[in-house]
Amino acid sequence: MTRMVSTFRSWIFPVCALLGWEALAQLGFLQGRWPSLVAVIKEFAWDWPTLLMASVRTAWQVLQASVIGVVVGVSLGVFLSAGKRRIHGLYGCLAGLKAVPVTVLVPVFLTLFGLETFIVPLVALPLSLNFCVNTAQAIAEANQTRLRMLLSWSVSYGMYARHVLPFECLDAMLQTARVMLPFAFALHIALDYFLCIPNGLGCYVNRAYERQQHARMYGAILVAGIIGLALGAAIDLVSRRSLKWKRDM
Amino acid sequence: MHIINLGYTYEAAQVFLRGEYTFYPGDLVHITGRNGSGKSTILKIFAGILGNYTGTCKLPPNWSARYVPTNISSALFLPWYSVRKNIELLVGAAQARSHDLCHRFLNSTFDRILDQPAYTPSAGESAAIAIACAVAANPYAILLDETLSHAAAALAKELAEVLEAFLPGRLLFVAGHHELPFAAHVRIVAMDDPHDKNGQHI
Repeated sequence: MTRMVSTFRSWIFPVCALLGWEALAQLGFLQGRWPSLVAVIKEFAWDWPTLLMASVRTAWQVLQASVIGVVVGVSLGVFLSAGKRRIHGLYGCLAGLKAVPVTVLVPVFLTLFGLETFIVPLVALPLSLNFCVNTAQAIAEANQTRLRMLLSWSVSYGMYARHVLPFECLDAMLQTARVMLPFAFALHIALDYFLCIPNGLGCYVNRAYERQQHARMYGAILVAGIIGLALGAAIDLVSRRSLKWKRDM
Repeated sequence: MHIINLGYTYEAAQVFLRGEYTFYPGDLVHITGRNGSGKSTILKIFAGILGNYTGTCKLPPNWSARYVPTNISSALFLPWYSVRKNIELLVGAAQARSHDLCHRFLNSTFDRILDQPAYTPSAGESAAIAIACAVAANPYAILLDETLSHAAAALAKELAEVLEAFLPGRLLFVAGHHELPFAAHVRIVAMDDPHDKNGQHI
């Protein structure tokens, strides 16, 4: 019952906003560049295959970048935590690189990867840097008393790394995902908007805007919003399932 | 095992076990003292969980210890795993023996909780499982931090019997305020009252 109420609360405002939009359009308050919701839906019904393909291209590239970012970042974070002091300088370099706005690196990545393929590594970069730094920090902040307690029970470092550390760091990892995955999605749309590579959602919005097809543009914005909501809901679901023990304790 | 004037300094307090003590295999030691006097700290030093202590603590060459903390379900057990998985991790090869002991203590309850998350058993059940794991691991010393006080009288008595059977040739330290349910002779060691960081009694 509580979950139903919570779901109702989270959906009621977007639904009211959409209904309000349509009401304002019907009452004649929205002129020119603001189409009515019905016009947007009609446009979507007409052009949905193109919009679907654009969404799939965007989602696929964001997924690729996310997988690369998480795998590289977490591996590097574990490596940094396991290493001795001499690689702590590398940690500083990565933390410094994290502070560089990723958009200024576009020319560098264009040179390195070429026009057709540079977006995935560029979107993966901030993900991997954030996952790396946060993984290293989560490992450093892991419960040291539990470690020493388990070592005194003859639990090996290997078993600790396998059975304890991933769970102790899980919360920090999910928090990072909650912030960084929507950021990766937004970054991809922004790059695609200006460069029209890989002809995804950003490019679709740009073209619709340039051709003054406002209903089509708002349709794409709505789809991007739905994908963003689905992404957040997926992270929440994983979080609820994997951290059940933390809530129940 | 030989200790002289053992002390440990926290940020705001110091704890001491003053005097010279020698503990022999077969000793059952009850560590008492005020709240905050450092009973748990001393056990953690014996277990190797805390270092940087002052004084002398000479341990036998074949020393191995199992420290059972007060808050077993959050500090010792891994709450994301089941009771069964925790037993496997904590005792490894001696798992079957610990299962038998758990069965003995908890009867049919044990079957019910075995595949439940490790945070679900009650404090008394957790104490019984942890003691069974400690005994099954067959260490030189078992260090119980208020553990027996979590168990009901009948369970505590049964746990005490098993610990007494474990005792010959080994050491058992029990920290706490409660009267112990052991039939064997108990050596009592009293902690000094806690001090602030300037060495004044708190």
